[in-house]
Amino acid sequence: MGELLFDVGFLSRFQFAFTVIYHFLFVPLSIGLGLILALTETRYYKTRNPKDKAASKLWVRIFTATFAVGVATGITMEFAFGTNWANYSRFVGDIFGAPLAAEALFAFFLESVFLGVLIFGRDKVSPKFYMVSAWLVWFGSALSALWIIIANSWMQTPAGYEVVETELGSKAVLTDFFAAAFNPSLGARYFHTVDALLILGAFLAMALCAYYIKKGRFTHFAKTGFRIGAIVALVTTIIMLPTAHEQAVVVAENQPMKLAAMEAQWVDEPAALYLFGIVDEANQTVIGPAIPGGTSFLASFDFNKVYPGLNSFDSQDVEALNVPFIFYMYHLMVIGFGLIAIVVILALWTSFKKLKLNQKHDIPTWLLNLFIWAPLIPFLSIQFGWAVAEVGRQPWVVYGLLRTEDAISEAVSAPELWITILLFFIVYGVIFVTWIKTIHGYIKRGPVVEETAHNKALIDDIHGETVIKEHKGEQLLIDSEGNEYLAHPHSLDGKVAVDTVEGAEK
Amino acid sequence: MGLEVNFLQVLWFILLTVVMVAYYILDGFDLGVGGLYPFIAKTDEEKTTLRNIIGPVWDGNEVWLLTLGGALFAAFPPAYATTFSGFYLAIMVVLFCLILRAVAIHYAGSHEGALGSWWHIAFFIGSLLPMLLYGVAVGNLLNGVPLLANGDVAGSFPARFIQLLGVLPLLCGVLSLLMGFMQGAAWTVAKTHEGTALHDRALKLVKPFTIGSIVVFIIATVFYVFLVVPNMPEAGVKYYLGGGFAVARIITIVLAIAACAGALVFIGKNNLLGFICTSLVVAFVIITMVLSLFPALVPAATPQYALMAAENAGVTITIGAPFASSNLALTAMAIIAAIGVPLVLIYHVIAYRIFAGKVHHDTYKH
Ligand code: HDD
Ligand code: HEM
Ligand code: HEM
Repeated sequence: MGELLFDVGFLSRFQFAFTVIYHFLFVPLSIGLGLILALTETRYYKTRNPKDKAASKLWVRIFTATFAVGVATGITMEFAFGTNWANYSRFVGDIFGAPLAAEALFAFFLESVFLGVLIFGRDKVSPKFYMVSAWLVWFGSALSALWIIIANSWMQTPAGYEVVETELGSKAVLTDFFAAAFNPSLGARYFHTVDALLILGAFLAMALCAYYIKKGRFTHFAKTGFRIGAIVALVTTIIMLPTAHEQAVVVAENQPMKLAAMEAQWVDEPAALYLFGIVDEANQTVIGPAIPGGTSFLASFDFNKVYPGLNSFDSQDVEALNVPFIFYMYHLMVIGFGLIAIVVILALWTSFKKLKLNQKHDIPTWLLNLFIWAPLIPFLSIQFGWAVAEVGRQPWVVYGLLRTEDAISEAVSAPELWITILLFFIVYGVIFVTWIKTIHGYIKRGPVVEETAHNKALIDDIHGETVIKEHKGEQLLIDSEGNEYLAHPHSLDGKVAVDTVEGAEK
Repeated sequence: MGLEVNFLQVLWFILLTVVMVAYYILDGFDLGVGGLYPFIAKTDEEKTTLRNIIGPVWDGNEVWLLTLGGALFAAFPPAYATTFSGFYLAIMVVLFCLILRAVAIHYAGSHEGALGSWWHIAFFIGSLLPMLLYGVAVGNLLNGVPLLANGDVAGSFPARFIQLLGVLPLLCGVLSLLMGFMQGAAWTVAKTHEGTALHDRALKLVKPFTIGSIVVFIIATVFYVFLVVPNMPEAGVKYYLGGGFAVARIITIVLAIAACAGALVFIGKNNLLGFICTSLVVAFVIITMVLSLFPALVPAATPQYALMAAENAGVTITIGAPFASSNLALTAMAIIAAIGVPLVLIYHVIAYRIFAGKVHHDTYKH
């Protein structure tokens, strides 16, 4: 362990893993929420209802605050290949640089310009342009995911290249652009990843709505929103199955050693599918319930197909592979899928059986709490999945071509890495706290309808209303659907004033 | 001289220059606004105004930097690898500044109290240091960098970090700061209402920054030509410094001075033209610098550290083989650029048109 602390290779890997995981905390939120935002904005575009506008504004706030962190932490990743992986960059630049440059040209410019419109432009552009901007930002983010996943997939399943010797050492040189871009694992990885992000988005929308239902606020917004979330979650969870199958097929074909590690299988045999288990490395077995031949079936639709075990590979390579870690990560992801499916079923049942629009609900609090915390499942599964993909690629950084230990920056020393790792902890920590505080503030305030000349009549018309005091002393009116309106003193005339309302935030 | 460069390599050298110019003109003004932030904005309203004049566009401006990094990586991987790993800590400082700044622009307005004032400071420092360090980096390239046989920068930490701070790098750092301030002030003048205190303060600053930029630019050039170039190793880039390149650089220097004069004339009368003139100053300064480097990207400083034997033209990381990417990769990238750049220009036109006109603190309610 002590040696590792001075090992540039280890520290670089640690820094890269930490920063890319952090970046990828916010990217899934952005892509997932981006779709929800675009849908909400489209709804407002159609209805022009101030309540829908309030909902859309809330999503814009949450989305842009999250997106800002994604943007900021993405710069780290872009720089990292040069700063920390100089030999890697020299080796793959001919191929890997193009997708990165294309990502900036095609996706980042698109995202950033229309993000500016989303944040600053509501009163500057037509409603239609604004709605289209929301879609363009989402399209841009899905496009940037495509380019970066092209780059990543090429590292997993290199294609369209040849290795040549130069005065500066060997390097990979492009021979076929399209073969390199549409390399064997791209399709499966892209659709699997994007679908995972959309599941997360749907779960987040449901969680927010469940939170308001629990608090008894914005109940109309929450009930309709919950239903949309549940439907999107159902569709994306079903789509998950073929994409996950395709992932297994691609790994089995292209990275057999990774497949063996995922199921911790040492001897050549039909690969089992463990539901869960404990890896016993010494005895080369796994203890736990399994479907014999299950993984063989997943990867080839044939329970009896024999896949090579770890003992059939170069023992040095296998030694560099963290088999139990890969096994656990893989199975946590698969268990994640199971839990997601259960939550989706519960959500559909809740939405269609329990949430009548104009009735008080009788959903048990534990169920609402489950929905509030459920986004953690896809959130973590996404990280587990990447851990399988990236740690399972070891000891290679470019599979079969370049070893991770040969990819580092020799010019960078351990003390320098310590300085930057420490700075990343501090800076990213501060950003995380700020982000949480900000989002928490937005959610607490909620999709309040603000009074404008347009909707003054609407606010004056509310009957059976109560007045509550929000934090910061704002006066709010609540109608029978639970919508909240920020009201000027004149709107309060003659209406019943109560200090607190059951279930409302104080 | 044995160095051969082909059309595609020169094309990508030119395209990188264009991206660099676009970056420094555009992000230059929002970094400059950040650098001037505590000095010209006295009230909270003025601070909000300053954030509003860059808010909708700064991210798009910064993407030019990402494009520059990506394109350098793709077209000349060894130059990207050597500079980013060799200047590790300096690059990381820039990175942390850009991260904090990106978050600060978004969060500075939405937090009060201690947290809020913290983000104001982050916005200021996060804008100031990158401007300085860009100049220091360019100064080091012009000076030449001690390179090992494998292309890495020689020396070890912390000496390698401190050795970055030579005279020419510091001159270039100051120049870069002044140009950023100039852009920031000129943009503030163009985007704020005449007669406001903020407008007047910025207007007072444009001229001194513009004149200062040109003066430091000329001092740095003289220093470079008379003190740095004579001590350069014979082989390599020095060859290209004479002849047509010398003439070209004299022309760009004259054009930079002319643009400076234009800025002095227009600012206060037609502020958009004034801003265009200061942008031209930036463009010609960068083009002069790039002409001094061509065809090198990272010149080697001392022969004993040079990448290859001195009789070999490639003592230094140039744009030729073996440092450039393959012709196929460069062609693919050229096609990507041919499709992408027009789109990017359209996006910019859209953004700058939507957000055209003068801005004050409550222009955007959100
Ligand atoms: C909501 C998140 C989520 C869920 C429920 C699943 N996955 Fe997944 N999985 C991902 C999110 C993810 C991911 C984060 O998107 C990964 C990481 C890299 C990638 O390509 O996608 C991934 C990677 C990944 C890989 C590795 C690809 C590689 O190493 O190159 C395989 C084989 C699978 N998945 C298969 C499955 C199976 C069989 C699942 C259960 C039905 C499953 N995934 C559920
Ligand atoms: C190590 C690899 C990665 C690099 C080099 C990288 C680079 C970047 C950069 C530079 C930005 C900021 C763009 C801006 O300023 O507007 C960014 C943001 C973004 N990245 Fe990454 N990224 C990486 C991993 C990923 C992955 C794996 C995905 C998707 C699957 C992704 C998707 C996005 C998206 C959608 C954004 C927009 C901002 C956001 O959504 O928060 N990135 N990335
Ligand atoms: C966003 C999702 C991603 C996650 C969560 C992720 C996670 C990781 C992790 C955990 C490691 C460390 C593996 C180890 O040291 O054993 C790693 C390594 C690495 N990944 Fe990824 N990665 C992601 C996307 C990408 C992308 C998109 C690229 C390239 C475009 C990439 C390139 C690399 C490189 C160069 C390394 C360093 C070498 C290594 O340690 O394996 N990663 N990643």
